Amino acid sequence: MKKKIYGALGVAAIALAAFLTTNTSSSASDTTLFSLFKINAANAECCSTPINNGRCSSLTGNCYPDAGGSNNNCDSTKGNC
Amino acid sequence: MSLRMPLILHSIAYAIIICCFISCKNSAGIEIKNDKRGSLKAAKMLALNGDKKFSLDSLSAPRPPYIQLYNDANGNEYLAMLSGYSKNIFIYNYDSANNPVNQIPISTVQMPLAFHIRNMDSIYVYNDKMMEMILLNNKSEIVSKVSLINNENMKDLSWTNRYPQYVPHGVNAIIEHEGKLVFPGQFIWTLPDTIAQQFRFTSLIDVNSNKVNYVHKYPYNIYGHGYLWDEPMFTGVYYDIMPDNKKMVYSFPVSHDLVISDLDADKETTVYGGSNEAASITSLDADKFKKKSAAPNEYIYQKACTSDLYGGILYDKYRDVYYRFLRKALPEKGVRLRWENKKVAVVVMDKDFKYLGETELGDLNEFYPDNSFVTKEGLNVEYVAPNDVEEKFLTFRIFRLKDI
Repeated sequence: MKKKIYGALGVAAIALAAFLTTNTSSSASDTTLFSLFKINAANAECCSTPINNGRCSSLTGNCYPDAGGSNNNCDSTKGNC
Repeated sequence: MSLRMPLILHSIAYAIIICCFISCKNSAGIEIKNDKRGSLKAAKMLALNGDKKFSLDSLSAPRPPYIQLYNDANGNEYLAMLSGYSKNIFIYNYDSANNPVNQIPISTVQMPLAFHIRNMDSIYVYNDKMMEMILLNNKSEIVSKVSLINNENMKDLSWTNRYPQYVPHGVNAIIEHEGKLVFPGQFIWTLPDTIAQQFRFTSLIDVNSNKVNYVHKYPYNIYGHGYLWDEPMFTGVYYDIMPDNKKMVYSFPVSHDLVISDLDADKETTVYGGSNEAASITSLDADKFKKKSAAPNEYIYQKACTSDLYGGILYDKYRDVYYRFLRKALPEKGVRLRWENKKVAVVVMDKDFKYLGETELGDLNEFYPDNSFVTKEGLNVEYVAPNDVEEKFLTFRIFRLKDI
């Protein structure tokens, strides 16, 4: 029984280490350089309203619906902007 | 108590393991290698063969949202151009170019993004606002409407997992095939693994019954497994119909291969169709950002700039070859990362997709390969002079195939 407990603890320790590593490894930071990268009029079709059911494409500058998206930032309802 | 402890520990361990798997599931991206890089031998190249200019009115600008090359019953060749702002389709005689010879008002269509002219009394216009294909007659009156999302409630976004969305480009002409309009769309964001093997992106609209069928799936080894391609530029679909008029050839931006799909059967094959210079293409790396549900815009933009991304594919019936566009990667260091600075190249393949060569045309500042088509003169690619502020003309540079 002890072996099972130690085994479970071992697995838990490894899993915890992997979990923490996965969640803390991030080499990209949310810099403010995006304004430098934007193509001309990139956000022309993206606007924010209380609906905000879509995400703004970085490259096309259009807002597209994103069902269940956690980072929605624009209104994809066509013609609302 | 002594018996319950291990159970608790087991439960905790399993919970942590499950958490680990959930957190790790998108971390492993995919690297799509170009196995033939550096080993392909060129025999052909594209050489500039002149310009073609079409005059624009004061409300129209270069890089129009959509164009179509079509022939009338007498065999005359026309170029039609959508002017989104004035809501007109301007029609030019391709040979004489210069001023439009006709214009079709489409103000009855709320958000026109694409069209297909069968004849002057039968004009299909895609209305993005309601995701429908509208048929207009020669008086621009609406004859019929076909919903491309089966009339589902647009506010309930669950339809996005069942129906394609449309990002039309002039290089992707709407095709007419045996009484059906072939209108490929795409999935916009990362394709969830739960639907990756069911999602179909090409709409087949029956012009007689107005029924819509959906065919053709993304290659699972590239877009499945929850690999992160979280930007419509990566999930885009470029295509042309093959000369047998029975199959479609698809060019996906992140694949060196091409997918050939039967229009009338659930059958597909994959062939190599890559560039001799394109490097490996990798999906977004979830480890690069903390919020795994959405990549930061600047990371996506950098990734798009520093990746080789394929574009439109066109069959040239006059020379029996295929052209495939490539937006070449910018180096990760040493240059300013601007999308417009990417070089545009064209890979040429024979009718069996054997590599014939590739030519760099210029950069995206001056070339707009999403508006391209083939005529007997050669490959027409929209050209915008970087210092053109007057915007008086829609210009195409024509490239002709020649031996090296």
